[in-house]
Amino acid sequence: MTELWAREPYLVAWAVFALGLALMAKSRHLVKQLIGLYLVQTSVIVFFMALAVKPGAAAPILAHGALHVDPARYINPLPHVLMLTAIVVGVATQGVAFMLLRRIYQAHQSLHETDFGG
Amino acid sequence: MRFPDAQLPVLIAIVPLLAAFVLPLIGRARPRAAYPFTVAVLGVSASSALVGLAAVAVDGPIHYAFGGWAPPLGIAWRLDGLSAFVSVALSVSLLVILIGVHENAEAEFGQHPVAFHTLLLLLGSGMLGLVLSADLFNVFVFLEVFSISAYALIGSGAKRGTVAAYRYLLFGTVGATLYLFGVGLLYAMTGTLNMDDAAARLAPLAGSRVVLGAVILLVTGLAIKAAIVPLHGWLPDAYAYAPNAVSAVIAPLMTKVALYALIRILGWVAGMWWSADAVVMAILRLAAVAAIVLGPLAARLQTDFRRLLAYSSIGQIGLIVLGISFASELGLTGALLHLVNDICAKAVLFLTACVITLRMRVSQVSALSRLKEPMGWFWVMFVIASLSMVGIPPTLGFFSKWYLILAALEASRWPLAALVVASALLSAWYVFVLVELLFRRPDAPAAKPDEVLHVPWRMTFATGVFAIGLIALGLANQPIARLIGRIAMPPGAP
Repeated sequence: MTELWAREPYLVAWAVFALGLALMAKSRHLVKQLIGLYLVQTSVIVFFMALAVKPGAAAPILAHGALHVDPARYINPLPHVLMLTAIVVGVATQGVAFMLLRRIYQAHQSLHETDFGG
Repeated sequence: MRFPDAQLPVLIAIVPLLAAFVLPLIGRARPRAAYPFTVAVLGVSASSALVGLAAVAVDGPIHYAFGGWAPPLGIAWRLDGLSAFVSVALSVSLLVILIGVHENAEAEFGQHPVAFHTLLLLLGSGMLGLVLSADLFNVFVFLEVFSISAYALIGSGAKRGTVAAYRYLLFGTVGATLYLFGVGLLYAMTGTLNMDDAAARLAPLAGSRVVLGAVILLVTGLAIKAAIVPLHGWLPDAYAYAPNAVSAVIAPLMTKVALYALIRILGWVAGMWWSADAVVMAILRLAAVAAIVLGPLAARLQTDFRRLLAYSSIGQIGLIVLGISFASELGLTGALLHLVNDICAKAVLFLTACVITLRMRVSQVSALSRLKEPMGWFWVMFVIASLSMVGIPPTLGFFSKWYLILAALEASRWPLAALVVASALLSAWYVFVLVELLFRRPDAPAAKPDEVLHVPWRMTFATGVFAIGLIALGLANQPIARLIGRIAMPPGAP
C-alpha cells in the first residue's frame, strides 16, 4: 500500500496547494495573492473530498425506513459536511479580504505592493 | 453550587457568541449601550470561568456534549484543568482590557461603537470556544472565528493598518489551511475528530510517518497563528499599525490561544508529551532558541513603541515554546505561568501605548520621556510590568523563568537554562531603556498644557489589576504550580 499522502487524489490536492502558495509568494499584486490563497483553501477541500471516496459507492441517501445499511455502498458523508463549514469559513475570509482590498485601494489608488512600500 | 456546573463550558464561550448577534440589534436603537452591554457579557463569561476553575479543582473535569449527542459522534467540549486555567486568564484579561481601552475605543471607533464591540465579542467567543473545544474540527472553526474578527479589527485602523491586516489574513489563512490538512490526515488514520477518541486510536500507531506528518502540519499551522519564529512575519506590522484599542486587546491574548492549542494537541491528541526527544519537540526547541535570541535584539532596534513591544512578544513566545518543548511537568508549569505573565505584562505595556497616543498622538518610544507628573499611580504599574518582563522577583516573570530553568536543568540541558537567564538580560536591555525614558526629566522640553497627561481612571484601574496580578500571582506561584501539576497535566505521565 502506498503511503496515504502519496495516492493520486491527494497528490492533486498537494499540487493545487503548492500552486496557490507559489502564486502568493511570487506575485506582488494583492488580488493575485488572494487568488493564490483561494487555491490554497480549495486544495484542502479537494483533499477531504478524496478522503470520502469509496470505489463504486453512492451518495448516502437512505430509503425511508431502511434499517440495514452497508457502509461500503455509500461514500462517507462526514468530510463533505466538514467542507461545507470550511467553505463558509473561506467565504468569510474572502469577504473580509475584499473589504480590506477596497480600503487599501481607496487609500493608495493601487493594489500593487511596490506602490505602498510593501 | 451544584446547579450550573454542567453548563459552565457553554456559559463561558457561548454567551459572548450569542451576545455578538444580539448586540447589533440593541445597537441600532441605542449605540451607547454597546460598551456596558459588552462589559456585562464578558463579566458573565469571566465569572463563569472563575467558577469553572474552582469546580474543576474540586470535582474534576466537566464534559459537555452538544445537543445530547454523546461523543465521539457528537461534538464534545471539556472544561478540565488546562482549559479552565487558560479560559480564566483569557476571559478576565479580556474584560479588564476592554474596560481599560474604553477612552481609546471612543477616540478610534467613536462612529461605530457597535461594530467594535460586536467584533470584540466574536473575538472573545472564538478564543474561549477554541480553549473549551475537545473536537479537532471545532478548533479549526473557532480559530477562524477569532482570526477573522482580528483581521477586521486590525484592518479598521489607519492606512498601514489595512495593509498589515491583509498580510496577516494571507499568512493566517495559510496557517489555518495547514491545520485543516493535519486534521484531515488524522481523520484518515483514526476515523474520528474527537480528541480523546483520536488519542486512544493513535496510541497503537506510534511511529507512523503519516501521523508524524499530520502532527507536523497541525503544529506548523498553529505556529503561524502563534507567531513562532520563523513564522512570525505578520506580527510586528499587525500590532504596530492596528488601532491602539485593538492592539491592546489582541497583542496580549491572541497568540496565547494558538499556543494553548499547541499544548492541547501535542499533549492530549498526539501523545507526544513526556517525550522531549520527539522530532516535533526538537524542532520547537530550535525555533524557541531562535525566538529567544532574536526577539529582544530586534526589539532593541525599534523606535516605534508598539513595534518594540511586538518584537518583545516574539521573544516571550519563544520562552513559552521552550517550556512546551521540554514536554515535562516543570516545562508545562513554566510555560503556563509565563503565558499568564506575558498576558499581564503586555496588557499593561500596550495600555501604556494607548495612554501615550490618546494624549500625544505619537507612537515613538521617546514619547515616554514626556509623560510627566500628573500621571498619578500609572508609572508604578508600568514599572511593575517592566520588572516582570525582565523577570525580577517578586513578580510572576521571575518565577515563570525560574520554573523554565528548573525544567531545563531537570532535562540536563544546562545551555538552555543559561539561555533563559540570558533572555532576562536581553529583555533588560530594551526594557530599562523604556523605564529610563520614563524617569528622564531635565532635557525634555516642558510639556505643553494639552499634553499634560490625564490618565483615565479606567486605564489606571485596568493596569492596576494586571500589576497587582503580576505580584500576587508571583507570590502565590507555589500553590498555583501545584494546582497546575495536579489538574492540568496531559495524560500518560511517567
